[in-house]
Amino acid sequence: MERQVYERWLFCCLLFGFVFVLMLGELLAGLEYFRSALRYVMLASSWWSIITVTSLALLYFLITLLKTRSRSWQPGFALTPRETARTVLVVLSLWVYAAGFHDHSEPRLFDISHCMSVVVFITGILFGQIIDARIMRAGHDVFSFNRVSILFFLLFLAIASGVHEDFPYKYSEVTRWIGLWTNPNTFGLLMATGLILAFGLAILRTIWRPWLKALFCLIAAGLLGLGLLHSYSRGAWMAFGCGFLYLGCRAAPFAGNSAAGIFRWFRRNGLPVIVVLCSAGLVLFWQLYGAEHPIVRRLLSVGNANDFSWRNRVAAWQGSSVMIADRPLSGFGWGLSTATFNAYYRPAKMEEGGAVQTNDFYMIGSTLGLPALGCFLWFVGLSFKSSRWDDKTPYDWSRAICRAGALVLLIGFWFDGGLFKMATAVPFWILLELGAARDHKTPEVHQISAPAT
Amino acid sequence: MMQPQPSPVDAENNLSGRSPPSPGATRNRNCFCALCVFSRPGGFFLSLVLVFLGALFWAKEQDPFSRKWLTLKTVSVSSFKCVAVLPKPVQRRPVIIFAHGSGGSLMDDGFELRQMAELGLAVVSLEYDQTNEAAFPAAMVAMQQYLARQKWADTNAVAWVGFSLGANRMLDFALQYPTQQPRLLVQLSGAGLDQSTLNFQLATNLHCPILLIHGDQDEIFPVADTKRLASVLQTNGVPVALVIIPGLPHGMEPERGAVFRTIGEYCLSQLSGKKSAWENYHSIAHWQAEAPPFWLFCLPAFAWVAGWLVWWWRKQPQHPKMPFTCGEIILRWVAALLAICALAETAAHLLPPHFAVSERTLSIARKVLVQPKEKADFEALACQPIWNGQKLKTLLDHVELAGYNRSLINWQIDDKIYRDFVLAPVLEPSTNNSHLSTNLNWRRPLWEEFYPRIRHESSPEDAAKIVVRHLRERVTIATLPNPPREVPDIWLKQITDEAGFEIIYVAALRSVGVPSRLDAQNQAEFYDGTKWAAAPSPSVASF
Repeated sequence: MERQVYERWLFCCLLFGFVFVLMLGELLAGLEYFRSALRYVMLASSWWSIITVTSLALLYFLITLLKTRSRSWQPGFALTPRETARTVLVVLSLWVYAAGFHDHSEPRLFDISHCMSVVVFITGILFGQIIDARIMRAGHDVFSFNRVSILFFLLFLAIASGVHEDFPYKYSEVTRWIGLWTNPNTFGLLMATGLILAFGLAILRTIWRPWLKALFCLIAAGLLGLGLLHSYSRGAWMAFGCGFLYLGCRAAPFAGNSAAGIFRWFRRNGLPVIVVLCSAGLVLFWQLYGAEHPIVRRLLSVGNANDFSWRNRVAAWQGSSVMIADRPLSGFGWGLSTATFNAYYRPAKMEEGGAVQTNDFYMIGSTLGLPALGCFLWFVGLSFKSSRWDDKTPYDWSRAICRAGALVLLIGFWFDGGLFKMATAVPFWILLELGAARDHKTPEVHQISAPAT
Repeated sequence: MMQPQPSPVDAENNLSGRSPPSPGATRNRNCFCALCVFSRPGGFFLSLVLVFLGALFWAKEQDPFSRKWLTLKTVSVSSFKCVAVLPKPVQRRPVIIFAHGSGGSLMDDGFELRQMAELGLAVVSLEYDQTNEAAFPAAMVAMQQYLARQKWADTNAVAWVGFSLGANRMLDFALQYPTQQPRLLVQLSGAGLDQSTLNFQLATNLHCPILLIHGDQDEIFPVADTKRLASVLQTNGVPVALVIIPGLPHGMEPERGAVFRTIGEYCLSQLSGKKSAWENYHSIAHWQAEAPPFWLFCLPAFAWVAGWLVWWWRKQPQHPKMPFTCGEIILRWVAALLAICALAETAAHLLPPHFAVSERTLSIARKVLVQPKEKADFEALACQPIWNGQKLKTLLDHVELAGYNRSLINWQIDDKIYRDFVLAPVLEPSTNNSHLSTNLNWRRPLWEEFYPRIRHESSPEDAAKIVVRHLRERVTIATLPNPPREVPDIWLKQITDEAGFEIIYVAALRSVGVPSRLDAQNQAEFYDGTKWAAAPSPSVASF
């Protein structure tokens, strides 16, 4: 085989292997030798931590430099706004992390979860760089094995969705499924992501064939949907709804002239349609309020004042907001955010402050400060913005699928967290980078129009 | 570099290969797009940013404390960290300097600092070097110098509170630097000093009042040492108060919160005078209730969205309308009818609870608001002659929350006992009409506060112990000229006298499903499933 084909399959295997291993991250983190190795690297002494941080920073800049040079063959940096955002974000993270170690040398403040969070966060960004660099070299080719990877990813998720033990996560008397993971919200979020990817690939295969793969995707979607439903994770349900809406909006141009007619009609009658939908939703809400069915009850529990789950989250957001307002520029440093919240900012009525870890946006803000939060949002925003949608090719649709998947995870990070968990962070960074990929090869080679429907 | 982005409309026109929409359709399309302000990413993100910033300012306003994170330098140029927790509004207040125990850190002090600061004291904690005893005096001197420069610190009213190792270090420092002694020294689980040295030094150096607090189950420093210390201090004419708390270990768990609140109360009454201490007391619950509402902080976001809509509307060219097709007219009629139905149903659910209880509102409640499983409780409560002037919401809250809580707790309650001593909102015995409650709206705040803490308990007795402990952490018992006696008032002001405490204690027990009442002596008692028994008393009432 040609070298390029070898490279492609090697990368595909690496990608899938990485995802596979890190999907099991929570299990891996439970292994003692892994924990002690990580502790050794991150906690042995402040010198080790500084060396680690410096190495990561150097590695990051090396990758950025190589990528930039390979693109332009010119000395110096020629970063796009998105790369600049990412650079600032990484440097901010590393700086605050190092500063945190310098200020607080007591190892007990830095337990394994704090180490994991920084490793996951920075590794995610670094891995994104590698994917980005690969996409720059491979152009559209990356999407062909990206789709293969997604198929394997779906297969893995579909199998994992069926694994559920009697774990003590219950909603009323109903057991919440957790699959291979330790938390139903993580499980639900992964199922929602998988479901969006499955739907997207099914549409892709319906348009561009072969249908057999579309059938596989639909079966996977069924299994994943079942898992999503039984996770009883409201954040994941909502994230799926938003992802589905996004995918629907992006699907319309691919559907040809009939879709254009529907869009025209919707533009003219959008307001009454929205009124009908909202009114029907409101009427249904009041009619079903107090219903006994667990899924309906769970769905409507966001309007239930007696539900401590969402009220604790809101109280935690409030406390985190005060933290951000108190230290808007630097934050409280890695690993100190949760402890500081519990000690100084937790409202008196909250019995325990675990809810503060469920919102990653507030977590970044209170840990690294508003500049880092702004930079993260800037970076994500640019990732969603940086493509043209004037081609109707499988590659564009692949990008749309990846973006929808990343959007699902992003919304899930607001309600349940996951940016600092390996199981959800890795798919997020990969999907974000793949969704943001731009065509670096000559476009005429890949102009494959969608068949008219 | 990034390419310039086509607008979504242009892109979709290009993709579908159609011509731009006719002028007649433009106005209708605009109606939709104008409402979909969020379809424009820039506008969407700016409105989100404004809401987010509004939330930050609102949360800051709601927060009853101001925290200062400091790094102070000693004369030997070594530095140490401190945290000051100041109640709002930040003004001149009595100060407590707190030193934590061995193994403690600033991260562990937050709860204790807030417990004491709640009472209106400025509380400062320092991260002293626990391994170098000689460094402590320099840190304390630096701290006092810092406080002398602060406007919020009343340096004539300073108390030192030390726990364990911190208590020992503070006592050492007071002995070594007699001129720096505070107005009050509180030693919590301390007393690890050599007796012979102590005796000599105390005779000459110590002159500030001392409060010694010790648990009789202390496994680190025996309680006998503290008793001996108190005796020596008394012999030397030092004003000393000794409090031995039965059943508590060295760390004062599980009563730590109540102990620190009581220490704060003691310090405040000693530093500000017993009378004025409670006259100006402003609870944090009161502070939060007075804070401006969230919507006020969202006004910039609303204003921006409204301004954007107006600007966008004016920007659009005026075109004649295209006539609607039959289907479109039907769609609009359906939308209007459904909207009316939805609004009517929403109004039926949300408005009546805000009206006073009357035959009419009760009738609406029976039809719309009360779930079938709650009907019996509702009728039992509604027929009582206590609802004159009360809002329907209060009645509904009692029925709903008591029933919901009953389904959650791990013990069974007989129907009659439940209705008379859990569901009933009037707490005083019917014979004692002079103090009969008029404000019955207490169940929700108490349930939200106490239920999460007792949810794993399996008996009313265990739940009662937790309730009284947490209640004491939140409410001060003091002798007041006009103490609040209504439960919502007590909860809001977080202060009452002993009789008021018993009343709110009964309310708190009922809110979590423990049948309870006031006995003939107005003391709280609860039903343990077989008999009525005196409810557990707080371990620490006052010093």
